[in-house]
Amino acid sequence: MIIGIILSLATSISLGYFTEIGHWLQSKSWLPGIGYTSPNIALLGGTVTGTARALTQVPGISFAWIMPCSLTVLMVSAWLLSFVFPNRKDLAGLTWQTRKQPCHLVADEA
Amino acid sequence: MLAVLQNVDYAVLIGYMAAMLAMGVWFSRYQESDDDYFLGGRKMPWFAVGLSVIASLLSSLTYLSEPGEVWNSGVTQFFGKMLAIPLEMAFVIIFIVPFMMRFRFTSAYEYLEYRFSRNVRTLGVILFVAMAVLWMGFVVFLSSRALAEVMRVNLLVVILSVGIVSTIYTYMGGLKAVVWTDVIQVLFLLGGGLFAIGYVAWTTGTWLPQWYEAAGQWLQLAPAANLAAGQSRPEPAAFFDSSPFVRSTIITVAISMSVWHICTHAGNQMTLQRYFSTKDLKAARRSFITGSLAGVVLNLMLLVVGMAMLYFYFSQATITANGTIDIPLDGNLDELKRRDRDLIFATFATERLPAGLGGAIMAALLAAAMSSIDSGINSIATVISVEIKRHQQTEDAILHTHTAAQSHVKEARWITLACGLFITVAAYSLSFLPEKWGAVDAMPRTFNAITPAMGGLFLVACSCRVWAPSP
Repeated sequence: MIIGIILSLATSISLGYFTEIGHWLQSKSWLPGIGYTSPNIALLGGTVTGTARALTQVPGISFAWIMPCSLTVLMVSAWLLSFVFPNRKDLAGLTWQTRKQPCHLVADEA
Repeated sequence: MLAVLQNVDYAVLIGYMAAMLAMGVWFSRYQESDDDYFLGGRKMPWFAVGLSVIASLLSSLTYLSEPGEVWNSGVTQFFGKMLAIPLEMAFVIIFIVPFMMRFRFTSAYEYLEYRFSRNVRTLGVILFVAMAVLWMGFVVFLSSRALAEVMRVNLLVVILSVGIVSTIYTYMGGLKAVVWTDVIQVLFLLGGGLFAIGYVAWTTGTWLPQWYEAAGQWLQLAPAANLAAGQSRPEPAAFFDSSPFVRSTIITVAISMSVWHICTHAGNQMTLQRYFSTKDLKAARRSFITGSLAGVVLNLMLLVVGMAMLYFYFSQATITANGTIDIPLDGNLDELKRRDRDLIFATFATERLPAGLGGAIMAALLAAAMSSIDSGINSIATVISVEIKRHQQTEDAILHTHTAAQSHVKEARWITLACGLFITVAAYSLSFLPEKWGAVDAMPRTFNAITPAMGGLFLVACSCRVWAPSP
């Protein structure tokens, strides 16, 4: 879960500060002239800074894309990492799927 | 042109602040247990809670930016928001409110420990506190900056006034004071907007059809006109465009707003705490519906305010032979940069409205700020208090009980005070924000960058059988 949160925050930050990060990377000459499609890949992959063709002359990414992309990254990474990490054994009452099962936290059932 | 704020305007502002403080004192008499202080004894009326939710979510940022947004993209933002409402309402009312109301927690992040682990709960708390401090800092800073600019007073004085008054009445009255001051503040928000709309209609003898036509003309002429250096052009939006570099379209705004609303209701203590303060699920659902409908009304009103402002100034514009549009704006807004557009409503109120009405709109702006700040302070204090209690409990106790009989009101009050002061300091430090961003663009890049991670944490928790350590 923590990995998913970190990826989600990285998405928000990398998209929110797309132009600034691009200019900074260019000033360091780390990523000169990457292809034009990179920003779209960045949107899907969500993360890390550099992906940018942003490096120059590219306008900032619209504010309207930041939150949906960030949430998508979190949900997708949650699903993917679920193949690696174990489940809790007792989820009775703690998810939508198990909400009707007895749970000591629910006032009526305690 | 009328003078800027006069004595009667200042009297209205001071009277408003005094009334808020008086309500804090009044409700301080009813704080005996943690439930009283944090959850209003779980007996808060649904209509008050509903109005309080929308007052908290619709901050001064929205109150400032929505009328200015009409100058940027016409009615696109509004249509996008309205398109999002059925989806987000259905999701929240079916999946989130009933699910979370079953537990009757005090802090929503308690759920994360039962569902995942203590570390994830701590992470949720950290995300919330970071988001809330940034959000509230923004609210205090932007509303104070607007007030300072249009009233021509020192920024620090305004920040201290807004921050300290909100902190004091929240410190004294707890959630009851927060909810009932929010109700008053919603009335100010509505009244302020309606005053402005009525004034433009009355003085110009025009109404919505002319205002809508003026907005269309502005969006048609301005993109091709000669604009001064530094001015940002309006960006009339399409229904949809798949390029992420197009600032806004109806569909992308709708998706973005849906995500924001769902995540805010799923994982934000500020909203969940309101629902926990109602007596049962039925009342919580009614609160949600009340808040959503009030949100539609307020957003519609702000849209009309923006159109009225645009008509008022644009109808006085001259278009020169070389295609330059010269709009005689008031105050310091002569260049009409993006940031200036966020100040159009406030400047209009101080420069154009008769004595008293300008002060009332400034009070509405303060109301919008304070209704968010008080909720933020109260929710942060609640979460931190619950976390402190959690650390005092044994592992066995936390796994088998979720309430504590002991009262921690005194400690909670001190935490509230500390949170309020911290937010006030954070607000001042935000004055280093890049000037080029308007409020609409700045929000997703700052505190709302955390919102999807925080809400998504709860959505994953509720919906997936993943990611928890084996017991």
